[in-house]
Amino acid sequence: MSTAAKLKSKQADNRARLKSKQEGVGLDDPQQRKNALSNIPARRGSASGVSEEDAPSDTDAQTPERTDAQSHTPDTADDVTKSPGKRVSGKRTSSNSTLSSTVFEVLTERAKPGTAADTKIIASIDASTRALLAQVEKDVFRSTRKRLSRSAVMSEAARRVAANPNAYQEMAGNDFGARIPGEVYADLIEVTNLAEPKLAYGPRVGSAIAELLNDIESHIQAGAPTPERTTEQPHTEISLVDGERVAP
Amino acid sequence: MPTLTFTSEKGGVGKTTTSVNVAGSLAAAGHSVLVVDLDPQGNATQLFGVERDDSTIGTAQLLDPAKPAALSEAVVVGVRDRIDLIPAVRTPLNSVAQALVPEMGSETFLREALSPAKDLYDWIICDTPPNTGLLTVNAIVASDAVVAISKYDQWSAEGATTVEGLVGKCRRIGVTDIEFLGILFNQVEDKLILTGLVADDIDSIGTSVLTTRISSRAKIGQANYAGMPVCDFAPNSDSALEYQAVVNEITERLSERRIDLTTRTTAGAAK
Repeated sequence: MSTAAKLKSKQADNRARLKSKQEGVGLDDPQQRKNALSNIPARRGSASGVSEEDAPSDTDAQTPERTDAQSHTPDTADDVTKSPGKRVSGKRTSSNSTLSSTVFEVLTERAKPGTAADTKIIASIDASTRALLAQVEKDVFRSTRKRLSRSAVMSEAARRVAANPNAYQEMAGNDFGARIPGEVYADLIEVTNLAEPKLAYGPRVGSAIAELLNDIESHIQAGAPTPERTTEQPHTEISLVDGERVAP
Repeated sequence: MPTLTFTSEKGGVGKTTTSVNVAGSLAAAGHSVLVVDLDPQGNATQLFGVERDDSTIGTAQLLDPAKPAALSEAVVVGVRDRIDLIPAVRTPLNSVAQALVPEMGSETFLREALSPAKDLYDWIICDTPPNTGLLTVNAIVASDAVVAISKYDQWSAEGATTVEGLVGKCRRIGVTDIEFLGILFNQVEDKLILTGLVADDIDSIGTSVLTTRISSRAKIGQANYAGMPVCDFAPNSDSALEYQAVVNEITERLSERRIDLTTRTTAGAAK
């Protein structure tokens, strides 16, 4: 018998052997493990909702209602506690309402940096958008020393694209950065592909980021407190090489 | 009961082959092993002869944020002697990977799901897709130790060093306490000039490298085709011996890092 024929024969024998093992024949009895596994309940899914302990706190009376058509589930108010200063945990919670709460939590300086939420996936966006975001973030951070959870921004942008991908087009050129005041980015952290791990959602996420930042701008302009600019810092050129910032 | 992940950002370096053959060597030594297939390609699933169709419940359903399946539904018991498998099916797993993105803390879902299984198995081995997305992060966060797989070429080596950085990131942010054991070089052909060049490059970076290497041999591919670990296909082959050496070295490195290697077998013997 040729080697190829022997291999095919062995493959067939193996598959038959698997079938017989499933029926409890053979040296190793998997039934015991099967019985033990059956005693392990399934994890709780996110559909089970948010516990008071895990929920982020309500922002404050100054937070306006969101008018975004893609706004999140309306159960946020029922799920959150109202104690100022309560930190956002990294535990699983119902996705949509908690993410929008997270964004505004940070804007009002209540989210805790370095939580599990701060390690989320960042989408890959086109190079011009990436450079713009990096420049704006750098300018604002230098002037205000405040940052927004990267994960909250990127997760929300990715969620919007996933929910309605046709609503977003690839970002064109350097448009959106100039439209948004620097104050909006008082707490904006590096929304570029400097973060890891990466998950490629494509350039549509750039559009979603712009929409989200417009939402943030609207929120702030509606009355949420904005940090003061201490010193007017000159803009400096930055560039990105393979996702790493390099000096000009 | 250690959980181990074999991973690389680069495809085609031998993550699945390594996962399957390490699992086989452990099982041959009398340990019970759970293999978790997190690669939507489902090569480990296919190798073990499990159907990859819409009716198969596996990793995707286990990680489903809305309605996660129970382990008893997801685990296929007895794919080989002492080896069970959580299978991967492409379409549902890709869908779940996307669904996980907006879920806060979703990098810990696999760890939560496997936690009750750590008492049932001596070893848990995770096979990952060739990227550093959420499925790979879930595997790393669920693991006690990670081994990066590489061939002796510059892109594979780069993919392997990316893994070290990723593990470091997870540790720095406190999501997990996990060891990077080093790079395991696979499909090695010493006679090639490139082998020496890449080895020098890795030396200069200072990344840890496993002493054991897996040579490029026909028996490994043949064993994959036959649907079994090489230690079952050709127990006396050089490849089978090399994978046993990999197991020995990994065990030693885990022990040095004081990762609990108590298995149900040894725990039972101690009593």
